[in-house]
Amino acid sequence: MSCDPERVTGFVDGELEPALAAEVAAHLESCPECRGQAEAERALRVRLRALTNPEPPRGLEARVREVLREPAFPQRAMRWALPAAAVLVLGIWLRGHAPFVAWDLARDHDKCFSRQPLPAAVSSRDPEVLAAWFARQGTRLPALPAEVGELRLVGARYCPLASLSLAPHVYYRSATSRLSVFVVPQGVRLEDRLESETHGEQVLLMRLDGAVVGVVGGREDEVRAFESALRPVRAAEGAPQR
Amino acid sequence: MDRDQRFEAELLPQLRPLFGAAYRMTGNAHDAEDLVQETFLRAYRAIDRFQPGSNARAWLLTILQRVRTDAFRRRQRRPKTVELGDETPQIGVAPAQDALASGYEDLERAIASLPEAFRTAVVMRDLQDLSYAEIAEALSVPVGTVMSRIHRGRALLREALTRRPG
Repeated sequence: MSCDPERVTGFVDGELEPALAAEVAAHLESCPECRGQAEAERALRVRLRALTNPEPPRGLEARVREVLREPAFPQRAMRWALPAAAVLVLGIWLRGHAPFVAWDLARDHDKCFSRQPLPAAVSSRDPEVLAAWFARQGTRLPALPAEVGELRLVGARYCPLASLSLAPHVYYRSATSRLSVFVVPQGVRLEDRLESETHGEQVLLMRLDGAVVGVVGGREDEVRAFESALRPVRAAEGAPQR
Repeated sequence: MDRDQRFEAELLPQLRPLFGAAYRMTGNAHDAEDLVQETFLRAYRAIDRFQPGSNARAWLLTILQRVRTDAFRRRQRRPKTVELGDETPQIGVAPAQDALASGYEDLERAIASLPEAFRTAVVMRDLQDLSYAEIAEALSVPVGTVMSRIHRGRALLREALTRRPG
């Protein structure tokens, strides 16, 4: 066998097949150079093995145990879990936040009335017809007037809100203005009423028949008139309610 | 034994040797600590694949090597930026003396001066006592390559020690 320094390394480590090891052993007998390499590697190994492992930083073991307490959560998921939870909490909070609801209703009011024709699912001037239509879809509508001042009932539909719920949306119209009444299905944090101006519209949120009703219109006097019209209807015992 | 008990009994006793290996491979305590934490986390999740009675240190070092490879790939994918105080393992940088305090500073320096592939092979073989087969598994290379790297690593170590007798 000729000199093969790598095999000498394998021989020193006892990692060669027996036949090959015997071959290398025989070679070492006759080759001072390879014998020198084997001796030097053995001496080096002794020195290397005498090295101790450095002391791990204080607290590393505790930190390793700490990390293991949350093993089911991949770190990648953890990175998104907190922001996602924050968005979710914010969403739930916003959903019941009256000014946000007011903004959402005003936005939808504008959107609907900017379309021709109105995106109504049911068209009628009779509140009974509308109430019956909503009742068939499983929604009880508070009693609504057929007209208030110049404003006449036109029709209705379900409006998808930003909170991902559907709100019954009733349209009123006059020659010069337009008005919406919404029945907000999800719990809104509202004491009794909230009046605001948003999206250039007057918005009134009020409690009516255990629900929160939103009135949206361009004119404050019309919205106020609607409030007055709705409240006696609510108060009147035996008023048609579906 | 449940997962936690197995981890405590079979893997956690390897913390110090594993940190030692990580420290000598990376050349600094901070990287070594991160490496060890991530290694133990992965080991804990994969403990069902660990054969009781087999070499826990070799198994952990295999995971550690994968963690290093993954970190290396992540660094390569990252857009190039100027890093101040770059803490990637550097060839030729001796570990901090205070962390070792072994009295074998010349030897530590010589190990740190080895090119990474040879240093890893020598650390696994001569400091962590892994067999060629175990090293081959950890590094995903053939046994012949392991023998070649150990040979070359030791030759370079001897050279470095001759230049700087300690």
